[in-house]
Amino acid sequence: MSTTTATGRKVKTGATLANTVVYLLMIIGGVIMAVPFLWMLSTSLKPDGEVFSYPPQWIPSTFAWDNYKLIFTDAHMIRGFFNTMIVVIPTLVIGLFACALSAYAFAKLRFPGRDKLFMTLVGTMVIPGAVMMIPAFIMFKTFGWTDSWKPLIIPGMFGAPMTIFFFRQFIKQLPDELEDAAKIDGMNPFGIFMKIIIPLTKPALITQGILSFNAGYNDYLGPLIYLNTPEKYTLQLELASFSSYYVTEWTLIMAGAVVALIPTLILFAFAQRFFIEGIALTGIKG
Amino acid sequence: MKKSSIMMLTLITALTVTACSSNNGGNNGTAGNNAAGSNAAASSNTNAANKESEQPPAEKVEISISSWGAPDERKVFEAVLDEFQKANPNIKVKFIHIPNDYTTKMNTMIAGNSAPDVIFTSDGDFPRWVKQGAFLDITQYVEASDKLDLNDMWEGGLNRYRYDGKITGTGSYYALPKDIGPTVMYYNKTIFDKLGVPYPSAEKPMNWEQALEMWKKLTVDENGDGKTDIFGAGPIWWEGFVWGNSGAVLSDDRKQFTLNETAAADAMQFIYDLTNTHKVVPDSRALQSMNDGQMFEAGKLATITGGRWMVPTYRKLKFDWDVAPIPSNNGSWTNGWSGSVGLGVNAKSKHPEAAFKLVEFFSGIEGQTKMTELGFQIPNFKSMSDDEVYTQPGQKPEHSEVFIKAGEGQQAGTWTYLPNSKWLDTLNQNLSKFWTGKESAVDFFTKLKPQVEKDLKEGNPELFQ
Amino acid sequence: MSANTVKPAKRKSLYRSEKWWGFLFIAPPFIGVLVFLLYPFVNSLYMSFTTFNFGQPADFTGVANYKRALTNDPLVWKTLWNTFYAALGVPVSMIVSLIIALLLDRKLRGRNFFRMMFFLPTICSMVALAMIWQWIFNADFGLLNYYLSELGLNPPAWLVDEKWAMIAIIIQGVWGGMGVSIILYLAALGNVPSSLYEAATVDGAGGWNKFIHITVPGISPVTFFVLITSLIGALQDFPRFQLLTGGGPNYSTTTIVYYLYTIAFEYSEMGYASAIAWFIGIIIMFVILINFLLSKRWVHYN
Repeated sequence: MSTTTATGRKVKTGATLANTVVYLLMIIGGVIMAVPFLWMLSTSLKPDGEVFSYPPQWIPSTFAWDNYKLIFTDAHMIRGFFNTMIVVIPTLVIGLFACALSAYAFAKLRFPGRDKLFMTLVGTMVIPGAVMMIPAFIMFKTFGWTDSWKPLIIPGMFGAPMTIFFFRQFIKQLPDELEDAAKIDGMNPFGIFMKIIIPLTKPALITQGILSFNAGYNDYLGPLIYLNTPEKYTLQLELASFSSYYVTEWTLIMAGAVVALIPTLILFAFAQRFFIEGIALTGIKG
Repeated sequence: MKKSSIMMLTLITALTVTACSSNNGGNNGTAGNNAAGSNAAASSNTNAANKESEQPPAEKVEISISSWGAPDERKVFEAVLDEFQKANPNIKVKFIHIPNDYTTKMNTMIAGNSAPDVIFTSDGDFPRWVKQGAFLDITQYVEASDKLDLNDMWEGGLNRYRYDGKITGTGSYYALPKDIGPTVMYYNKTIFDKLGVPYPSAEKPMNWEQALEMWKKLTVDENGDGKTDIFGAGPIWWEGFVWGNSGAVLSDDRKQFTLNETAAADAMQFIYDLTNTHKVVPDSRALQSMNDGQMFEAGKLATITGGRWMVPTYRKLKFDWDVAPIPSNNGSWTNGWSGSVGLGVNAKSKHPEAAFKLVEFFSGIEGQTKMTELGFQIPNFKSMSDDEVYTQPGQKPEHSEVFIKAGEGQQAGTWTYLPNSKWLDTLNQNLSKFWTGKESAVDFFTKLKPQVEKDLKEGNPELFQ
Repeated sequence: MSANTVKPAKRKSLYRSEKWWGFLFIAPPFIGVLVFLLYPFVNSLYMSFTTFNFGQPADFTGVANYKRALTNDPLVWKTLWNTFYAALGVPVSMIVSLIIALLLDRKLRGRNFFRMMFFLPTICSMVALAMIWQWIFNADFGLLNYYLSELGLNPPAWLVDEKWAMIAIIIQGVWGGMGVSIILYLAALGNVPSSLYEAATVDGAGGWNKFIHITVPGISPVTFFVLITSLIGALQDFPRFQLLTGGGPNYSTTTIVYYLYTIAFEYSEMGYASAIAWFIGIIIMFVILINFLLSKRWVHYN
């Protein structure tokens, strides 16, 4: 794996000025991005009455660490987290594989009706989900899947059109010669997919892996509709209990949101080195 | 390809039609029969139960109930369910706690025929769900009950859960109130003291003139920067002012929009002037994220309209506060709306009798006592209102009897009027234009009338049949 | 542009069985669609021709719902207009995201940290974020107007002003939506063969030239993906709107999907809501098809 990047490869040659400008831009951008989160962090540590003081108060007068204790005692955060993992991980692993496999077919294999079938798949995304919520619920009920994780796990294992679309775009760019060589060596398409396509699409896989993880992790409507038993509730359902019909607990909602960020942030930090560095098709003579 | 999709369509058509027509089933009366038979297997467990219960050996049944609520409310709910199960050992209750977005979840469950046996409902969701056939007509059960003295219960609480096939408020009973939450004027005593303004009377509502004078004295710019720091009043809940001036939002048959008629329009104009002329109420600019409740808690509002449900929150406040009646120009106590949540029996429940028992328990003396003890509500029964269980001497607010009087006089809000509330959304969306605009109330609402009435008609065709 | 001159259409299939492999590989998503999506799809399409309202038996009323949406409900047009207005955020977000991705693609110290910052909104709870943004946009006590007034400006009332509410939501959307586009662009930038840049450098091409002739075509497949999915997302967006403004003031921030959601679940007119859903679905499909046709001109796969 190479560490060169697409546009940044000339940084050595007297680009200090450019870098300074870039830093400046990044810092401004970073601050704009960070402000709401700093406020979230600050609010999560404020005592109850201080949330709305004006002018805006960035540092709480006293740090109410109790807010963080409360979210763990008032909601089953840990249980919710593990339930979320049970729901997210199988879908993630199997679903990504299914997506990549079909994307490879759409991108590289030739079969009749290929592009029409692909458009059909993309077309399934155009109808707003709101009107399908109830038919879907009725369907899963006839499957006997309500109050279980199945409606949240199983459909995703078959692949999501959006992810397939992304992989297709990625795989289509790979030079055909690679496969052709392998085909001549007698490798079948599945072998090509496993040995050639997967290694070359690693950045795309990891990128979509993070996005799928994030989507599953933050899904609220699905668990809300399908789960009835508190022992099965996912993290997002647990967090939702801090804003109720009459009372909105700002400090607790913010503390919950901060805690909920941590797992995805860790994942992101780990995955960074893989998907960012990219493989840039170096070593492949195009 | 084409052929198969047509077949699929036919199949689905059949499915949908069946699902719809079965929605109409589930009558009352014979309901008890359904409970028999299905649970014979459970009867071996009932020996222990028989000792405590005087009833003939019954099968052990399991019913389900759902509710929303923050952790505190949830604990109260669970405590009541525990008591119920102690009193009814052969009924096991499965509790589905829905942390938030209850309506979305319940919409789906009702449509999918998998709603719990006892459906917890806000009074705003009730009209829609009752029209959908979600609730069992419990009139016979209610009338036969020896635990519910209807004459001792607040009318405003009971009536909003009745439905006659067209409008709510009359007709059969489909649910019973778990509570009612009347609205009052909370005031920050510390601000009153600081500015030397006398406290409002707890006995009778002020008229508008008196109220305006008081609010003017309470509106101050402390640091002289030209921006008001403390406002006399929070946003006015306009319905109460309309009623308190003998006006109405809709005609009694709910076919006509009457906000443009003199009494109602005067009230709207008065509220408009409070913000725009007298500037004793913050305008919408100041009220999005920092809503009125937060402003009150932060000491930026001297008075605020609020329901009984705010009491547990406000007991944590650092300043001293009390409650007084909402001003009313005709001196009546129909000076605001009371909120409520109710409990009904699922029309498709297999155990309607057991389910009704639970509804009765919540709405009746036993459940009311327990819930009132825990501080969340005013009791359903007039006779309980002097009880120390409710008055909780030594705890704020000092004049808790204001809630009782308000509970007696106040009616359900406009959102409980009809199953389809698009007319109200149209009104509310347009109200923002009125509050910030320049048109007089009469002109504005006269212009709006046809639009609102179109929605009334389109959304509730049965009204006009 | 590239050494790869063999066009796919001219390649000979090296297997007779290639099409069967193809069908096998695409089977899972299609099985998923058939098992989990077909019924809800067909059901909602059927409902759109009926008066289904959860309660009374549904009458088949033909195209009455569609007719009502198109001719007798001004809110459909108003909310459709709002939706397209809100979708103006898509090109803005794409351009800003690409610029940031280009900057983040450089080998700089601390770039991992910056990448994380831009990705934060994507992973955060939408409810909590909406609350924060409501407060930021608050006219009198909000953060934004506090600092704008400090600068001597006379800022608008944002979310409660009919003229500014949508603009505020677009700003929030760009802020919150960039994270995904940025990491997709980063993946795409990493996929552009470095040999091309090296060759261009040898030929003496400048930075801008390389960007236009190598980077832009090189990432065009991903740009196309971002465009299509952002469009679908924007044309169906609504939870943000619900949380930030509740659709107001005066319906100025009600999107069409928000409106149909209200019709379905607040007014229980599922039949009518389904008709609007299919109407907007057809519009979105149309937009996508046009883009797929146009893509042949600007998307380069090799």
